[in-house]
Amino acid sequence: MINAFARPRGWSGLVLMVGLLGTAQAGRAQTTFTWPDTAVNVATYTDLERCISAVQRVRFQEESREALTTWTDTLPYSPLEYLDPEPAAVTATARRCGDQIPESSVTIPQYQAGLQLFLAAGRDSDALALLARRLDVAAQGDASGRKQFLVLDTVGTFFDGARGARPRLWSTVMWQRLRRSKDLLVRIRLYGRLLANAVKYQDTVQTARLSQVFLAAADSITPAERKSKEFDDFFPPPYGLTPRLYLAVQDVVGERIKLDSLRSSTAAYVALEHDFWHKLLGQGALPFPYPAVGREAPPIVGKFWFDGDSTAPPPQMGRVSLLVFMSARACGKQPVVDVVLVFGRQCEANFAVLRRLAARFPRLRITIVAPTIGYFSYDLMPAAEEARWIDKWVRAHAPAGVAVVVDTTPYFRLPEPDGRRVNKPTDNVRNYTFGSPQIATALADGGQAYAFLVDQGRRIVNSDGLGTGGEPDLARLIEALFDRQTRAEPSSKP
Amino acid sequence: MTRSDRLIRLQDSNRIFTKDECEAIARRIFAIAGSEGETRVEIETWWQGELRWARNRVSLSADRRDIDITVRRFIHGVEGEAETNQLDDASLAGVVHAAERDAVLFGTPKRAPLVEPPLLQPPTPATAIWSDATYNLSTDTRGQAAQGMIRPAEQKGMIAAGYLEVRGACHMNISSLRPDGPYALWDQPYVRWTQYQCSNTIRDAAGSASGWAGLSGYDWQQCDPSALGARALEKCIASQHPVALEPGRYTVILEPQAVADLVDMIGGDMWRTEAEGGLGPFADAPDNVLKIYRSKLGLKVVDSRITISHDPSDPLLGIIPYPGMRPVTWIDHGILTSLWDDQAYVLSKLTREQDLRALVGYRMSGGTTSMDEMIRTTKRGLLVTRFSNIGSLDSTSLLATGLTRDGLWLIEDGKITKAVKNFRFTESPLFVFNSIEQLGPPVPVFHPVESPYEVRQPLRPAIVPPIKARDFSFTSLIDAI
Repeated sequence: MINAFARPRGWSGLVLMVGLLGTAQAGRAQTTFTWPDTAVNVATYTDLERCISAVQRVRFQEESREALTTWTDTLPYSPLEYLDPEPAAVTATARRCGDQIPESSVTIPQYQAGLQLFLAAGRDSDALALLARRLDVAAQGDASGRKQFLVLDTVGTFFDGARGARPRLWSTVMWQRLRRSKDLLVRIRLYGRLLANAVKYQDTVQTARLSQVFLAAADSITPAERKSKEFDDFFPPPYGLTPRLYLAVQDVVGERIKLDSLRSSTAAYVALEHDFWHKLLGQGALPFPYPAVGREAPPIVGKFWFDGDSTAPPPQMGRVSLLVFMSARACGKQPVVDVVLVFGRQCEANFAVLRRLAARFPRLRITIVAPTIGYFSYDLMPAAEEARWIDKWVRAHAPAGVAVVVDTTPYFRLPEPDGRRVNKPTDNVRNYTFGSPQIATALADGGQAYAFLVDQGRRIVNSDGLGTGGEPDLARLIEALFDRQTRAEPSSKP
Repeated sequence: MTRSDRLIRLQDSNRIFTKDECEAIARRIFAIAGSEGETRVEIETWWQGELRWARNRVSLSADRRDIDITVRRFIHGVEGEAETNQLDDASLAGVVHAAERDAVLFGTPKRAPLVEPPLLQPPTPATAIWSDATYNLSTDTRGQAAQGMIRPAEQKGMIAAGYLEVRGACHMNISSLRPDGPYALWDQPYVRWTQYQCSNTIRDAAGSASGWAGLSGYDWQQCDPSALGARALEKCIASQHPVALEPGRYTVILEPQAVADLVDMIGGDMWRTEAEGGLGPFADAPDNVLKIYRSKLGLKVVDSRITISHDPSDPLLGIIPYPGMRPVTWIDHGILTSLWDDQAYVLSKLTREQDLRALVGYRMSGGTTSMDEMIRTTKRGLLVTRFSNIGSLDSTSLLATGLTRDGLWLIEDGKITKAVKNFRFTESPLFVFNSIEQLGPPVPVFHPVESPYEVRQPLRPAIVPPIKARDFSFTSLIDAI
């Protein structure tokens, strides 16, 4: 909050005063809103810490300005945006401020600040020289390489934040320093970290290479090493190595094989997924984490239908369907105390995904399944009226042609004076939980958007939260299903 | 024109703006901001006249007044806010643009929903919380009131200290999107109010005795400062030469002020969300079948002679209303019947329209037993004027500790026999209100907010009875008077 009469300081105060004197006239004539100038003079920032502050301040201003004018939450996921360079104002500020700070003057305790400044200024060679000095200190008495790994792990975020090609720079340093470590756990951790980076930046060559190396190393862990404290420190339970292993296995086997099996039949695809989990990952004791995949999708039921046919409910035989469970409450239509995500942008991103999918796959049948909860926004209303408002809200965001099915939520009230409404699962939620507590939570009253992809034979192919991160994978699965349809393959058999 | 030339000072005759004046200011701001986005204007003018005295001399006489205009700009999904207290064109333009700068620098983008039913606000109840007598209490009159409390004390060789304050304010919150139509939930219609508080402490020159009396409300005509002064003086004289008594459990007669000190502890914890989260004194056992927590709504929590309620139209209470405020019974004949909750809770859990906000004033039921009768029927007990320095020890049982002050007397065989040194108590108001023997007629008490300089927090009036309760726990002697 700004007091309009704070004592002006320096030239920014002059801007304020000029602005005040100017706007008395401008206010009367103003018809179009323009964003005010909030540039800050950082010429007085001279030492390392202040230079970092200046860079952060300008970076924040640039990000704010971009966020105010470009709503990125509805844009498709673009991992390569991390490789875009920093805004010119940030680089200019870092250079102007950092020019007076030579690399040799930065002490080891200041290395993190120095690293951030040099990366922001584009002084990559100085950044690498400083990092090398720090690693040399960590290398003393560090035969296993663990200390060096921790240093590199820490500064990885600085290289990520610096954008441009810096993540690759960091990966190169990490590889050079640690690939010959005699400590197997350090090497596995190294390969896993680099693999995650390669996947993130869609470096398919590195991903393929690192997956092979990672799996080979993971395979050579002895049972004693697997039970050791160091293993738990590096790969905390309960999931341990599993997520990275799954990533690597998927890459080694190849997504093409999965999609090819899906083009053939859903049964083949489901069998392959189960093989991955149980045989390749050795997770025989743990249940397959996607219980809905491969199951027959029950027909959607509901009391209120908009642009849909209750006599031929989705998912329909012969059509590829996307069933999206959503609730207006989860999208921040009103503040509630028992919903985790109440930001409007969450559901706007969901709708943006649906719009893109609908544009790419015109024959995809999208159905929004929503429950009534007794109110919409701040207004109490009967179920029929609430259903109409839900439909109106969906139509304002969703692509044309989606069907909306609203089912009334059964509930009972606790006796007065408590009077609380206790909602029960709707028929659709009960039908689509498949005994999974995770799915039940996701579909619960007020949960975020959750989508089931159903094939032409009414078999569930995928069930997951709907978001921009998962959109590319979902789109590939849908494409495979339509390929199957185009080839007029027989529908999947149980 | 210099800045000092532009400064606008509220005149004596115009300390509190009228509704038309507030709306005119809002319209000027809307015109400056333009039609893009939404502008919300909150206008408050306030005035406070105070008089403070100590050691039988007035030490402070002040008259403060100001305008607070807060402008919120909602533009392209971001919100910014700035304040001013000036009304010239340049200042209003400045505050609008400062709010816009704030939006750019600190605003977190929010998305205005594209689809929303129209939001209408429930009506604000009409209340009688304005008193011309309070508003027109001049500095001279305040001084005379103080002298009426000081002089008798001085004549008796005692030392008086006290505080007298009168205040008034108006408040309005209006949005550019609905300047003429019904208000949205967050808009506040125009409301104005007056309040006063007057308290007097008298001590003897030796520093061994203390007496206190005080009162607050909205209508100065209900206050007799001379009577307050006389009462404080009487208590001071009666509490001279106190004796030490053994700590322990005693039957106590709590004057209304002391009762209010205990009820305040209960009121702060009457939050439904907390109770139904398993926390606080009004949480009940969990329901393992439904996997929810129950609260004690519907259960008896205090003596069945106690009812605590508020009614915005109660002329003696004088509560400042908010939209949708309605009469509420919090505890009905000992049974907990209401807990406060917010809009989000009301909608999601109760599917009810109006939220129920925290206690902003209350009336507690009483009986017909006079204080004299209570004393006469007490074999052995203590008469307590009030408590201070109360601190919570356990939030579930409301166990608290605090001190008695400004007069504590021993009652023996139906008579006040001697003044007693003050005690520290360790007790829970819930236990006290379940150990009641007698209740008297309820009366208004002195009930200021914690910081009397916080003008945006109006007083929360209270009407409470004196009570006699058994087995009140005093745990140690203290030297403070």
